[in-house]
Amino acid sequence: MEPVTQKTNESRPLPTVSPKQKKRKNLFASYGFVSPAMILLFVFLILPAILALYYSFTNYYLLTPEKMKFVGVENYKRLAEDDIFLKSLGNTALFVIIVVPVQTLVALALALLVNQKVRGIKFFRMAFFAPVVTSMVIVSILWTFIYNPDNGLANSILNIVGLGPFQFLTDKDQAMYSIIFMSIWQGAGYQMMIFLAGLQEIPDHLYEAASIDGASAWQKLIHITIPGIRNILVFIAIVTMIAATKLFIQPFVMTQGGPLDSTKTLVYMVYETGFKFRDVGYSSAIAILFFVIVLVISILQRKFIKESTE
Amino acid sequence: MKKGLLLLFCLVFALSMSGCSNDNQGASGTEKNGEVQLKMWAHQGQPKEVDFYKKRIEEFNKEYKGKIHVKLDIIPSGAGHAYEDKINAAATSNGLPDVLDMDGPFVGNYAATGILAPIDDYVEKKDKQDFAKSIIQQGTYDGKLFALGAMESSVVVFYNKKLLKEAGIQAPESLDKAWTWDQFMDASKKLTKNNVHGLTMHMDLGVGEWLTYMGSVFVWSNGGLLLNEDNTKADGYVNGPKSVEAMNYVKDLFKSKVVSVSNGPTDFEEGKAAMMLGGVWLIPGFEEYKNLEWGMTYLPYSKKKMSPSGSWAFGVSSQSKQPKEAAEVVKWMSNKDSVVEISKITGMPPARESAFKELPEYDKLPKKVIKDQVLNTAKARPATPAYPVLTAKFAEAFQAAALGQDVKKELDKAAKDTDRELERFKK
Repeated sequence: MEPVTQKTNESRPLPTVSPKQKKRKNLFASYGFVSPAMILLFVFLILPAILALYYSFTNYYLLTPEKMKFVGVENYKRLAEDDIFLKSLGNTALFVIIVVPVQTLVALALALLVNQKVRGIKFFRMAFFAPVVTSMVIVSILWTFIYNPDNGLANSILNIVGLGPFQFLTDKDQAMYSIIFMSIWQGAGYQMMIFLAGLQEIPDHLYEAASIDGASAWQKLIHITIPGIRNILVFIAIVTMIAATKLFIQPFVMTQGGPLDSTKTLVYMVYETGFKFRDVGYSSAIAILFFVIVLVISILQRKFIKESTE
Repeated sequence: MKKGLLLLFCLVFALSMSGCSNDNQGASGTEKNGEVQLKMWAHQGQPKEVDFYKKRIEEFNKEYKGKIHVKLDIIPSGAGHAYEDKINAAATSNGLPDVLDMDGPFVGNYAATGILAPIDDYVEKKDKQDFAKSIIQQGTYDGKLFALGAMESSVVVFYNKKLLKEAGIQAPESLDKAWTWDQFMDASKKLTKNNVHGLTMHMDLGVGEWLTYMGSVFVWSNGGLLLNEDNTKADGYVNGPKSVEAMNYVKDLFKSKVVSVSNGPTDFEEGKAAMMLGGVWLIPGFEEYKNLEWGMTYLPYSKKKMSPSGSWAFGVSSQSKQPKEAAEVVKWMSNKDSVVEISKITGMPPARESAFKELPEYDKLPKKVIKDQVLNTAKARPATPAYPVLTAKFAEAFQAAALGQDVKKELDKAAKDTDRELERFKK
């Protein structure tokens, strides 16, 4: 009895819904489901981006929106002559160029270390990951104390080794490198965790086979581990790059962009110009240019990675 | 059915989003049972200061019962800019309260951009004369009064009595005997020993308002100005020869190592610096250091005796529909009772001359130093709409001087950026 009734149910055509109508219904439902995300994205991302583009052609002063006037490419002309903008661009580039490879390598090294099957290894995983879950603002404040040239921890330790004393954040040639070092320390744990997940995906039998063939540890790393986490490596390089270009909190808390603009980054400049100086028009122009730069780098990176994976 | 639910959800969502801006946070000045309802913002300063604001507003509400009722909101001021950012955001979205407090040098910017309403009509001339000149200066823009404060402030030279005695140095005890720059330099040098700096200038506070507040005195004392008399031009003033000379003196202080660019926040209190250029608000904190025997003396001078001035002041927002009642609140918060009380609580000098009479501790040393400076040598930072740019750029130039950089080059930059900003406000 049972199978028969089921069969009749299945074969009975649905009377009211034609395939076309069904498709439309599905379409409506799918739009319904994505709409909350789309609305949020539109209101908080796309709309501000469009507005920023518009503002960048005006002289919008934060406190007097009613006096906003169209000024053409005035803001962009000013950008071309602005030494501080060029300096900020250079500082951001320096940060990205050093942080992306170094942080990725440090994270990989840490991941390899904590991937050992040793007792108590969980403690080390946690220790390396701890800075990541600490707020960047707090980390920055702590490191400001550590970097204090007169009575900071960093100079005390370096003194034991016979180095220093260094001026760190109060020296224009050392400030950026101090921030870079601290940022890598803070951020590497995050990438380490992702690498670790990737490392554990690599099947053990590959290493066993390699051992039987007499491969050295180095050969195993180059021929098994690295190819095994290749995709993760690419992902991390992109994510780190995007995060690094947005450097803001560290200079904001630790140096206020100084000394002598040596740690001023593009995002810091956008903030300073837009909020502190209330010059939304000029600030928007910087933001737009920043967007274009990141876009170009991302496209290049994508192209480069696609070519090398093919 | 499902479709309808979905649509409903989307609608509710969209409405709730657009509803954000229609919140009833904005101004204000509504009437309820014949009682004018006002809103007021105050920044979150020291806990005792906040308690004072709350208590004074409660008393105001009692005094004006049936006429005016004020609702006070304490706004966190964070690392410095949070409160200002909040005012900026509220100004553009029509959300300002009727009464707000603001840091003195920003009055010019808020007045020029129409955030504040003038209060001349509500303040009696006689009452106005009782305020320290510098307080009226900081509250005035374009010839109109916009803000009145209860507190004044000043920077003095704090010194460690023990260390000065050891070095055989006697600090000046009256204004006319104040140290000249050269004498100050000599004293600082004598006081500098192995682990002790002769002076600390609180460079730990970062490149911010402190450097302009404390640093502009060097320029003024040397006969220079940050802007011309009517605050319309920076070129030739902030980078004029007298200003450059003043900043070079600062540079020399750092160069001769009597003062460190990387001092700790409590070097003076811990005896690691013999003297300190510090704000008078630091005095209550000295109590924690039992071993510290401290004294105060006048700021050193070059050509003119000068001292910094300015503190938080109250004003009426232009969005208030009841400016007259709002001005009553401003006057209440800066009347003699308020001034005396907040001075007792915070240790800041009072903003009114008459209030000094109620505070006898200002008649003898060490606090006499503060009174003498507030009433005789205080000068407000320029009330200009370009102040946010001016202060940032001047502070950067001051830091550059401390780091031994080319002073003229940095001050030229400050002049150029400030003048461009001033252009914006010219009609």
